[in-house]
This record gives sequence, C-alpha cells and structure tokens, in this order.
Amino acid sequence: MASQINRRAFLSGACCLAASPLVTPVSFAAMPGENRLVTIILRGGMDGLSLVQPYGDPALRLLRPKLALGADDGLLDLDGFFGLHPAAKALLPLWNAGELGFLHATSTPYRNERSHFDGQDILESGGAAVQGERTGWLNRAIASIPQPADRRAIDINATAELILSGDSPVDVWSTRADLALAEDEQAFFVQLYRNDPAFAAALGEAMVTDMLSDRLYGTEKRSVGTQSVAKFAAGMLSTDYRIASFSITGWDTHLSQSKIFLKPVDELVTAITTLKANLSPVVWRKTAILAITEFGRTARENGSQGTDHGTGGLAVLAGGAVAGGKVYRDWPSLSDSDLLDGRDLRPTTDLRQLAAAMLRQQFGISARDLETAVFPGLSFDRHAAYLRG
Amino acid sequence: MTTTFTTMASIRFGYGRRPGEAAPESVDALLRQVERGTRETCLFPHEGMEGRRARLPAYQKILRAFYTARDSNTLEKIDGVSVNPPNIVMANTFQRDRHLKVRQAVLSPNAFFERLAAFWCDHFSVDVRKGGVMRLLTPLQEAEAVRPNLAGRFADLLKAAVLHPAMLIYLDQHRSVGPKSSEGRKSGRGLNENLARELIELHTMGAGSGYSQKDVRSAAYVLTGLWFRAPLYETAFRPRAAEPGTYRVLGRAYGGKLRQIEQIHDMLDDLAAREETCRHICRKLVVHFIADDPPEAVVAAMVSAWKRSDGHLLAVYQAMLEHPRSWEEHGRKVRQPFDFVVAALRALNVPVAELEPKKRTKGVRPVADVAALEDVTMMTADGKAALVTNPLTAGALDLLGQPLWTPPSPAGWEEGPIAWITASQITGRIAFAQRLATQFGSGIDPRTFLKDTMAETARADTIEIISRAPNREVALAMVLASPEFNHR
Repeated sequence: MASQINRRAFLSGACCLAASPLVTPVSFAAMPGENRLVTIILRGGMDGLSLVQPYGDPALRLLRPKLALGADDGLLDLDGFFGLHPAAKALLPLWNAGELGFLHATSTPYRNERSHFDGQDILESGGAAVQGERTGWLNRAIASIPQPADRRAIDINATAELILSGDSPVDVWSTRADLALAEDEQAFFVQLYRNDPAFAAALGEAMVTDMLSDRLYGTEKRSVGTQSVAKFAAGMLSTDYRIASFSITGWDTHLSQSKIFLKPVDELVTAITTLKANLSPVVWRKTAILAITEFGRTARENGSQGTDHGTGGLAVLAGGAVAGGKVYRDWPSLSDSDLLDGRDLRPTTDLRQLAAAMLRQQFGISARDLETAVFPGLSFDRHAAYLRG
Repeated sequence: MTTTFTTMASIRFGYGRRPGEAAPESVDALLRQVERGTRETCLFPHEGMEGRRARLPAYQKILRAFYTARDSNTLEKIDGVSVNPPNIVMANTFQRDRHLKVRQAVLSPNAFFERLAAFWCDHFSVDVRKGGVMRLLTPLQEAEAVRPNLAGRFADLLKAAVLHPAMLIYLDQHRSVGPKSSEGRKSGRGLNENLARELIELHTMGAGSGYSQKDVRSAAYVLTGLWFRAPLYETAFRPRAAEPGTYRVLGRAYGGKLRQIEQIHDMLDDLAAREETCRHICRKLVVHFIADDPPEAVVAAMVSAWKRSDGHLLAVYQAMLEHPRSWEEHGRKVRQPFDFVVAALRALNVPVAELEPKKRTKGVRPVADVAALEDVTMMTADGKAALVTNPLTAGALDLLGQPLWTPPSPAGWEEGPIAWITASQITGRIAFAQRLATQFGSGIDPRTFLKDTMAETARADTIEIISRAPNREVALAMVLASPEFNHR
C-alpha cells in the first residue's frame, strides 16, 4: 500500500511538471548508473534446438534430417559444440563481446501436458504448478527489491501481462497508444480531470510517457512491431524505469519451420540490437536482457518439416551486464534413451534459477525473498555459473 | 444534485442511456428485463446455439483433413508457408461471435440482464486462448449455460456453467483421471486438481473461507469421470476414469463403490447451499454493481433473501435493487473497458452496420469445401482469415486491455479501479472518444449530448469546461472521456 501512495504522489507531481512547458522528460533521466532488467516472453514455444543447435551431438541430424543445419548451410559455430542459427547472425558481435549467452536444456517445472496456455502460466507466474501462483514473478520481485528507486517497471503491451501483474504498481503502455491532442485540447483535458485525483494522475503520467514516446518516434509510424516496442523500452529504461517487459509471438512452428522460424528470430534479433542501439553505453553496461519461452519443442522433426510442443528449451541472455560468450548447459544428450518421454530434450536446469540469478545480480534481491516470495519453493543456487561476480 | 431513479437505473445497473430507448422507471422494470433476458436468444453464436452444436462435427472434419494433409505433407502452401484451414475457419467464426457480443450489449433493451450476464461470465470465466475448439465453445458456454440460468437458482447456474465442456477443457478436468480407476491404472495418468480448486475457491465458497487443501483434493477425486463426447461436445460421465471410493468434502461424503455423475451433482448442490457461498456471491455482486467497499447492509439484505428463497437469484437481485443504499452516491465504480465502449456506442447511437467485423474482399476464396461452414471459410490471397477486427468494437477492447472472452485468469478481470485508471487506459479512452466523436458526432449539440448521456450525474465544473471546448468534436470527446462518464 505504501508504494502505491508513493507512486500516486510521484504521479501527481509528474502531472504538474508535465503541464509546465519548461520541463521535458529529460528531467526524469536520473541515475543512469543503476541496473536494468528486460524480460522478453517468446510466446508459442521457441525451438531452442534450432536457434542454438547442438551440432556436436551426433543424434541431432538423425532426429532432424531436414531442420539440422551445418556450416555449409550457414550455421555459425559458437563453441565447437553449439552453432547459432544463421538468421541470428546479427547477434554474433554481441557474442564475441561477451554480451550474449545462452542457457540450454532448461525449462520451467511444467511437464507432460504441453499446452501453451498452461506453459505460459507457469513461465510468468513462477509457480511450481499451473495456477499455483496468481500473480507474476517479476511483479512479486518488485516488492523484494531493496532500493525503492529500483522498483519502477513498465509492461509494454495493451493488456497487462501475467509476468508483471500483481500487487506492486506497474505501468502498462501500448506502443500504439498516442495522446493525439493539440496543445490547447490537452489543456482542456487537464481541466476536465482536475477534480478527480486518480484521472488527473493517470493523464499526467500519460502526458509524460506520450511526450517521451513522441520524441522517440518522431514522425515514424507507431506500431506494436518489435522494433517500435524495443525502442520504446530503451527510451523508458533511459529514464527512471528499471524493469521493462514485452513479448514476441510466432514461435509455434509446427509446419514449414525452416521458413516460418525466420520471422520471430529476426524479431528477437531486432529486439536485442534495437535495445543496444538506443541505450547509452553506460546504461547498456548495466542492462540484462532475459528472453524466455514456455517450453522447447520436440527433438524430432515432424512429418511437415516442423516440430511439436516439447519440454527442454533455451533461454537467451544479452546485455552489458551478463556473463556472455557462453552456452551454459548440463547437456543431457539427444540419444533416444536420454530424451524425456522418448521425445523431448530433457531439461537439466530449472529456468527459475536463471531468472532468480538475474534478479539477484541486478537488484540485490535476497536469496530468502527469491525462495519464498518470488519463486516459492525454489532452492536458489547461489553459485550458478551465469551469475556474474 | 440528487440523481433520479431512471438515471441510476440506466447507468449503475445498465450500459447507460441510448437515445430513443425508454429508461427503466422502477425496480420491477429492471427485474422484468432480467426475466425477458433469460428467455430471449442472444446474438451469438452467430449461427445460433443449435446451429453451433450442429456444426461442430463439420469443424472436426476440417481439423481431421488438416492433420491428414499435414502428415502426408500435402498442405497447400502460400509463399512457402502452409495454409491452416481449421485456424482460418475458427478465426472467422470467433470474429463473428465477438463482434456480436458487443452488439448484443449495445442493442439489448434488457441492459440490467446484460450487465448480469457480464458479471456471471466473469464469475465463471473461460478463455478462448486455451486453444483447440475453445473459440467455438466459449461463446456457446455463455449462450447456453450462463444466460438462460442467471435468474434461477444459483445451484442450477453453477451446475450448467461448471459442467459445460468449455469449463472442463479450460480447467483441465477432461485430463483428470482417478489414479486407481481402470483407466488410471492402465495409463498411469492421475489427478488434476484445477477445476476442484477453482470450484471451491472462485465459483462457490471463496478464498480463505475455511476449506482445506484436503477438501480440494477430495473434491478433485469426486470430479473424476467428468468427460464430454466429441464431436458434439456433450458433457458425459466416464466411469472408467472415475476414482472408486467415497471422499469427504467439507464433512460430507460423496462417491461409493459405483461412481455416477449424480454424486458430482450432489457435491455441487451442497457447495451451492453453503453459507460461505451465499455470502461470497452476494458480496461480489455488490462490489461489482455498487462499490469496491460494499455497503454491508445491502449484502446482508441479499444474504437473507438468498436464504429465504433457497438461493433463487432473482430474489437476490431484487433485494439489492430494493435496498436504499444501492441507490446512493453515483460513480463509486469505474467502468471497465467493455462497459465504457458499450456505453459510448449507445450514447452516440452508432448504427448497427458499424458494429460488424470488417471484411477483406480482395482475392478471397474458400479454404475448405464444407458446405455447412460456407460463411466462415473465406481466406485472403495471402492466407489470412477474411474477417478482421472492427476498431470501433472488438478492436477497441483489444486496445483497452479487455479483449473479449480472454480473461487474465480463472478469477476473471480485475474488479478494482487500479487496473483501469492508468496512463495507457486514459490515453486509449480519449482516443476512442475522439474517434467516435469525429465519426458519429456531426449534427449533435454537445450540451444536449451531455445532458442526454449523463443527466444529473454531470458535475458543474465538467459542464462548464465542456461548454468552453474549442470545437464540437473536442466537446463530444470530453463528454465520453469525462470522469463522470467513466464511472457508474
């Protein structure tokens, strides 16, 4: 409750400031040195075995005669065992700079049912079972962040997403939102809301965000496309926002995967490179990006050159604040006897460990809070390799 | 200024005023709306309830043909991407239904009934995003299970809504198998507690009302065996999957050596009859209709009406409407996006033709040769569904964060104001108000419009600022975006 009052107080202040023509959003660009976290939800079940292919595992080609790539097809070697899909080539400079890493053979605790809906529920709620938690883990994490200044978060979507839903206040903004009011009209709306504090505060916040969004986009067409979204996220993270979240869809590649996989991969690449291009070097160094999905896909390709819903998959880490240049894994092997249920990459690392590690590293959330409030029941691994220093 | 009965009745208990529609003038008139509403057929599913049921096998046929073609790699491809006929057919169908849902609320003369339908659909939330045929079944659940039953006994509404195949799929009941049943022993499958938990926590008693995890687990055992028969999707009982034995839920025993669906009905009847359930539902109704901090006197009057009438919902609504505290203080609730969009479309009397989904017509052709589904088979040359979202109705709700039939969780939409008075929400509502004002405001005097839509609820300062607006479009948009219009 206290944080809500503070937020409202901040917003009513923002409203008055925004009403003054002398103050621009630059005034809010305080404390550029603090850490940032971006979560990207890859909806539809991203095929980790395609994005980062274990070409060194001899079973891969047997399981995926059509989908497995080799150097001749443009697969980009990462470490002598894994290769990066050529569609993600633009990320290679980040890999070489140690600003891109992966965790392979990972998954949430979701098993057996392989439903997008329930898989995403667990992914975003951070529970051990479907509907085990009612709120999002990133929202619960906000309340556990020791520094109040680190708690501002924005969900870049029309509808609040589960990952950031809960008791802690979070701003929600769609990149299509545009307060298309002439200056004189804007003054009328300010007047219209002056006797309703909640509406006045929301309009004040809208005017600040909209001004920022106008400056970011200029005359560019606004869309819900990934580039617009990532650019907006970078803009918000350059002010006093510390957490941003958005989604990339289109990963449900049951059919013609070699073709339809390219689009979402391109969006993921765009998201990461756009964030880097639009954050100052100082902020980029303090930023961690975590891209996660509800489940991986079947180890075997299906009869329509696609893959079906599986279990173990891949998480992507990027940003100046991550310990990149590595594919972290406890590789289970793709041989028949090692597959989960005879069909899926066997998960060997709980995805919640990685998320918890990022929260710990970026915001100093205590292990106790991680294990009780954020991911109830998790036994947090304090010495995970992907935790930097 | 005091608010008159008709104004309160149409705003607090309806979707606001619509030019040319008589406002309800008494509690009786509101209750008659409810009785009429339960008898009338709603506009969705677009082919009618019988029609939808009759078409379900045709959808199955398209699905099967798709799987066969997929496995033999003979699917049609456009630009190297395979065409997915069942997805196109279901997308078109759902577009029709969701636009009709907005239209139903805009046009219905039984606004209090429509508001109750929205309340109960939220209470018994199901979600099209669960996948498969849910885009076909979710509107059907509202039409055949919720709407006709919302003025009868709560126990009957509960059974209809919870036992509907849409709910069984949404909360995984059809995957729950008694581990000691013959099917459980053979397949190694087990219990899924999802429906049992929501049944007690959300649909009946309410969270933290004194039940234990053991009650939830026992209820899940009792619910095993619930099933539906494809392709008609009729709820059925499958003894092979039902856990044998007797289970105690809140002190009462259900089950036995022979498992039957009647044992499940008994458990639902008993849960419906509990004191906690009656208090939970009455309170929830008052929180939804009157105030987030509900007047306890109104809740108490409804609880006693519930008990006197043996859970008869019309008597419960009557007790709410007859209580003087229900008619105090306009505007204690924020209109949720659906309520806001419907009220705005009504206020401007937007023509029915404007509420349809948009149709792509260039180069469209049928994606499947199934006569029964002719009107939803159209696909564009680039392989997309021919029916697309109308930004004035369903599209507005997508942008305002309340897309139709896609609640965020089984608990339904957020009820309190925090979720609905946010920066992007205000921005979206102003944009929608501007769009409607520009498109449908010609010839409307803003002062008359303000008086017609808000009557005595308009504050003096609002009237004053709107009267000074720089032009008519801005003035009309300000009415729709005003704090008064956005509260009820």
